[in-house]
This record gives sequence, structure tokens and C-alpha cells, in this order.
Amino acid sequence: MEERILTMELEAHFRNVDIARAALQGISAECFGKDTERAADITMAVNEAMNNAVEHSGSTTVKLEVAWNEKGLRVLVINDGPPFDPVAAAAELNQEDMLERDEGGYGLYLIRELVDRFEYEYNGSRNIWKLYKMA
Amino acid sequence: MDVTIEMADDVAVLIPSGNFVASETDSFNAQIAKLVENNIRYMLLDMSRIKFMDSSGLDAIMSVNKQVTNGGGIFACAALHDNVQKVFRVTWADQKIPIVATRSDGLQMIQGLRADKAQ
Repeated sequence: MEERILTMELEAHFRNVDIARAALQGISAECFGKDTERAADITMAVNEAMNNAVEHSGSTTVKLEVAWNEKGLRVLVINDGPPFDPVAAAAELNQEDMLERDEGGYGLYLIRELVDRFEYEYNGSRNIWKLYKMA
Repeated sequence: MDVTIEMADDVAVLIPSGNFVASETDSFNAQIAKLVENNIRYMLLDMSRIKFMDSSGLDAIMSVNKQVTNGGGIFACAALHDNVQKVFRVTWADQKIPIVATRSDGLQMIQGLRADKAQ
């Protein structure tokens, strides 16, 4: 399968996250086929990245770039808020933190645990979160 | 978010449906607040109609658990789909909230814990 690409730019609103998630569910089902757990993992991780952008980045828009082929799926979640390195923040979380907290902060931990690779870049005044899930 | 509420004696069985996500949690929280105001101390969240839950949904559940248990009550979740159960497992929330397979298991567990507390 040749690499296919879908790009979306959304007004930063949770209702738009719902719409983007529906699109991603379709793409991940195509990419991972019967492996529904891997498809659900990347959908959840991207959902969390979009939620974070809507709730915390201060950005008015969120851009999503999805690329996939038979080898896997790569998603860039881009916002133009102040620099924030989610990979470094997620690396500081551990099981004890999770067990101690009552509410909040689960999103980054979920991303870290559910993707195969999680990278971050600040480029052109944009935060670029890169999430990978291999087939 | 639609939340059906059924009473089983004095246990409120909450049955939300749809996706339990950031865009829906305000509605869920508002309905829970009414139950807490009415001094409902025992709640069972039947998640059989929830196909997808994100960390905002989990936050809402953790908040209910805190409100109910801080008031001396008991809270539990039942009938989780696999991907919802995974969110609990990965975040270790399943170590903080009782999770059971079915609604009847949940009701039985809550009544058992109440009996233990009463002794």
C-alpha cells in the first residue's frame, strides 16, 4: 500500500475532537485490520493529544496530519501555543504517580503507554507532537 | 450524554451511553451532582453502553468515586468493554476503583461491603 495522507485543521473545541476521532477510527481500522487493539490504542493516544491541545495549549486551532501504509500509522498533532514538551513531561510520570493521583494528568501517561514512539518538536512557532503505531 | 438512573433499593445504578469523552463530561457531572445533593451514598456505574472513554471520562469517574467515598458511601464500576477496561488498567485506576464484570455482581459487591461496614 502506498502511503496515504489525511490532513485536518480544526477549531480548538472538544466537539471537533469527536469528529477528528471518528475519522481516525476509520483510518486505524483500515491500517490495522483485525488488530483492533492497536487501532484503539492509536485512536486513544491521538484523542488525548488533541484534548491536550484544546484544553491546555491556548491555541485556537489544532492541525492533524495522518499518514499510513501497511507498515503503520503516523500522526502529527500540531498547535501554535507556547512551547511545551509532552515527551519530557510524560517521561517524568511513573506508576506511583498514577496510583497517587485522584484526578487529572492521565492523558500524557496514556499516550506514552499506548504508542510505539512519541516524539516532540517545536518548529516555526508550532508544537508538533508525533505519535507512531506500527502494524 | 444520556445517563439513565435506576434505583436498586438505595443504590443508584447509573447507565451512561455513547462516548465518555471531554465533550460529554459536563453533562455527566451535572447529573451526578444532583444525586450527591440528594445524599445518594451508593452508586454503581454500569458502563455496558460506553464504547469509548478517554482520560476526561476517567477523570469524571475518579471525581464521582472521590465524592461518594468521602461521604462514607461506596462506588463501583461494572460491565466495561475491553478498550474502556484498558484505560483503567493502563492508568492504574483499576487499583483505586472496584471493577466488576456485571451489574448484578456490582450490586452484590456493594451490599456485601455495606454489610461489612455495618459490623
